[in-house]
Amino acid sequence: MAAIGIAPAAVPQPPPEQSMQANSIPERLRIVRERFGTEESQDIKRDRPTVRFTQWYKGR
Amino acid sequence: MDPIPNAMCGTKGVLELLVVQATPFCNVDCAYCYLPNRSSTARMSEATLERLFESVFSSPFVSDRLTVLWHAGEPLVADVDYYRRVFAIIERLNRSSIRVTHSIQTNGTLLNRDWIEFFRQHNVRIGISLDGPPHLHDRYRRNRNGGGTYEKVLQAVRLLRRNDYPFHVITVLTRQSLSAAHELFSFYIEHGISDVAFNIEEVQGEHSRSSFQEEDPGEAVRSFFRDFLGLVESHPGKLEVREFAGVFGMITDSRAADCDNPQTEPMRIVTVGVNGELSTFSPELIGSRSERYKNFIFGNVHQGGLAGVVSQRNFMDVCADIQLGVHRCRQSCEYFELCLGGAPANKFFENGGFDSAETLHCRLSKKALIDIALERLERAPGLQLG
Repeated sequence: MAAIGIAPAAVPQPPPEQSMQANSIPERLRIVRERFGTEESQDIKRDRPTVRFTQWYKGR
Repeated sequence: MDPIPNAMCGTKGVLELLVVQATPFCNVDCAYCYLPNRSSTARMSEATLERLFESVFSSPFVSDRLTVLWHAGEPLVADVDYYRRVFAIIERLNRSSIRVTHSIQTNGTLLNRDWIEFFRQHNVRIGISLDGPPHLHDRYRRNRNGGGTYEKVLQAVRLLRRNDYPFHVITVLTRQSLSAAHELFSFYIEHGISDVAFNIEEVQGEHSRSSFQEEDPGEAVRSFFRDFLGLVESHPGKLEVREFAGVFGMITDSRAADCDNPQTEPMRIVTVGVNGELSTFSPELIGSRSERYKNFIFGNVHQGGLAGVVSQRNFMDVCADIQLGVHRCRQSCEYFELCLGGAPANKFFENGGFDSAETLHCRLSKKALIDIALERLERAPGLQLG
C-alpha cells in the first residue's frame, strides 16, 4: 500500500517498478493489461481526455 | 529541487474544460457543499462574459474543441433569457468555429419546459444532482429553510423523461449510502435513470468535516462498489456508471497515462468566477481562501485575460507545489500509473498543502475503485458494463 506520509523529495526513492512485488498494483495491472491487450483505437485515445473531464467534474 | 520543467509549468497549452460561475448563488444549501459564497446573488455580467470569451477564443490555450460547464453555484438561478443572450455572445465571438459543448450541472429544482426547449436548441448536456431515495437525498440536500428537496428534483427527472431529453445523475455517496447499493440501483431503474456518476463526500472548501472521517471507510466503499458492479453486470443495458467506465478504461488501456491528469496541469481546466476572476487546476479552488496563494486567483478576464495567468507569481507558486505533490505521489504510491497525481484541491484542503501525497479522496475515490476493478478482472476477463 501507499505510504500515508510523504518522503522528503530530496531523498532518492526507487521508482515503483523497481520494487514491484508479485501482488503489487503495478504487477497486477501488467498482468491484466496483457490479458486484455491495448486494442482501443487512436480515436478513443484522442477523445479520452475530454470524456474524462466532462464526466469527471463533480457537480453537487 | 525545482519540479517546474518550464515557465508554463509543463502545460501542453490545451484548454479543455472552462467552468463558468454564472452566479455563486444556490437555492439549495447542501450540508456537504464546498462553495463559501453560495449566498451571494451576484450574476456574471454580459460584459464580463463577452471579455471572457474574447480572451478564450484568442488565447494560445484553445484548440478545436471546448467544453463549457456552467456550475460553481446553481446555474439555473440565472434565467433562461440570460443564457439565450450569453450563448448568442459566445456564438458571435466564436469566429474560428471551435466546437463548443455546453454542460450544466444543476440541482434541478428550477427546471421547466422553457429550459428543456433551450437545452434542446443548443444540445446542452444536463447533469442532475440527486442522491437517491428521500432518506438519503434529503439528509444533506436541503433548501434554505431546512426542508428536503427530493420531490422537486424528482419532478425535474420526470420532466426530462417526459420530454425525452437525455441527462445523467450525479449522486454524492455519504456514509449512509454505503449500505444502500441495492436500494440505489433499484431507485435508478425505477425512475428511468440510466447514466449515473458517484462522487464520494469530500473535505473541501467550506465543508471541513466528512461523514467518512470517523473511521476508515475503505472496506465499506469497496463493498459498495463491488455490490453495485455486480448489479450493473447482472442487468445489462440498464445503467451506465461513470466510475466503472473510467476505471476499467484506465486499467485495460495502457496508454491511459498519455492523457495525464487535467487537475495537475495548468490551463487544461480554467475556472472563471462571477466577477471574471481566473483560476486553474482543481475547479473547487475558486472562492476558497489562502493568503499564501492569494485565494487562487491568477488574474481576471478584464486584466490580462487567460494569457496573463501563467505569468502570475501566485500561479507559479501553486504550480510548483502541485508538481512537487505529483512527484511525491509518483515516488510513494503504487496506484500512480492510474491516478497520475490525484486532485490538488483535496491535497490542499485535507493535508494543508499541494506538496503532499495521499488523501482520503485518493483512498475512497481512486484506490477503492481500482481495487475492486482489478479483483473483478482477475476473477474473469469478460466484462459488460451498461
